[in-house]
Amino acid sequence: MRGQLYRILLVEDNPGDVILVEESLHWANVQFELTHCDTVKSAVETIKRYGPGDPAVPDLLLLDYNLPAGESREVLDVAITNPVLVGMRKAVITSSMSPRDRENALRSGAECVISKPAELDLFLAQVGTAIVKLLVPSDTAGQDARLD
Amino acid sequence: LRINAELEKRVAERTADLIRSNDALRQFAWAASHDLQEPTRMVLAYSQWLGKSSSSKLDEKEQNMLASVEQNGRRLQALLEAIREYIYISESGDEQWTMVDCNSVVRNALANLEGVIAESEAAVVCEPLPSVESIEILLIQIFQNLIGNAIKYRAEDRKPTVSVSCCNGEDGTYLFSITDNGIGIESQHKDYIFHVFKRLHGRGYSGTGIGLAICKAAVERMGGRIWVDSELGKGSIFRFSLPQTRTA
Repeated sequence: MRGQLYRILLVEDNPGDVILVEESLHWANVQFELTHCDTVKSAVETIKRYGPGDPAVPDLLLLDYNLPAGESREVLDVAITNPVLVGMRKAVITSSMSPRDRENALRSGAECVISKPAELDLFLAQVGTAIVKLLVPSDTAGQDARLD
Repeated sequence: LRINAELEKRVAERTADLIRSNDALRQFAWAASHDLQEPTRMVLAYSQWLGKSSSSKLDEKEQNMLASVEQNGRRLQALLEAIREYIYISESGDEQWTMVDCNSVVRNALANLEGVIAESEAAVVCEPLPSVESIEILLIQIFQNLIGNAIKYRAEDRKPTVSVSCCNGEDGTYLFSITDNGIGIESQHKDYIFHVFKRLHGRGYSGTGIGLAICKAAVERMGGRIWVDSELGKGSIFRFSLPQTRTA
């Protein structure tokens, strides 16, 4: 896996969290190319644009579930209906610990819900590990997975 | 008779109004605590990051300032979590009412307090307790908070001892008692301590000041009452009643 480049589509309105997610990817030694959308609207447009053979098709969608103006769910709906994205992993990332929000996210088609802990070290390790598990499922039985 | 009917109608209207405004307030508190969490998380994470990346460039005073930002961010975080927990517990939801064995509830609470008990060398004695029709997670919260407090507010000159017991109370209730030999509470503070965010002690005692408010909300949700008897310097007895069969 060393040296493989992963394309990640991050839908997140909080610039502070964008930096923290990038840092989590660095923490996990993931080589990545990030596309960032900060609204539901721009994410939906971006996802609709991916066509067959498109080299920019992402390996992973990371979707903040508390986006203002619009339902984050719409982003998952569009992602699921675009056949080009059939191999893309889909994760929701949220600071909400409420079981109801988590269930909703899973029901809408997310494969997992990644929480955003308040403590920096926890954030980097939890988010980094969860992303590696999604990108390289077989490779990461243990906790605190990093690529190296 | 007509006056009576008129009065009853007015009481019913008032009650409906109160329930509505109460729900609105609860929703407001929930939304506020939720939305405040985002900026709080940023303050905490980035003060920690700055502390790591640039502490060598800061002088001692500046390092203390940064540490203070981090500490207060963490405290804000804890307060917001406590508010949400309080709202969650006082909200009537669809939790399971079952026959709950209070002995196993106390065992659960003690397991959660394992670290505190070991560190303080507290002796916790639990008499045989009954089973009560109630909501198990609320009961665990109550016992955990009350036993935890009994140990937290211990006297310096003696080892903490806590005893848990139960007897029949008035009107078909069980009356639970948690007795400690801690610092005690002045009588004028006996009601105050059950209010949200009210704390008698500052530095030296950690906590958000919401534990007893949570106990009160939890006991009342199950149709009971909670109060404290105490002698300053000698210890406290926290008591709560619960209906033996469900009434709430």
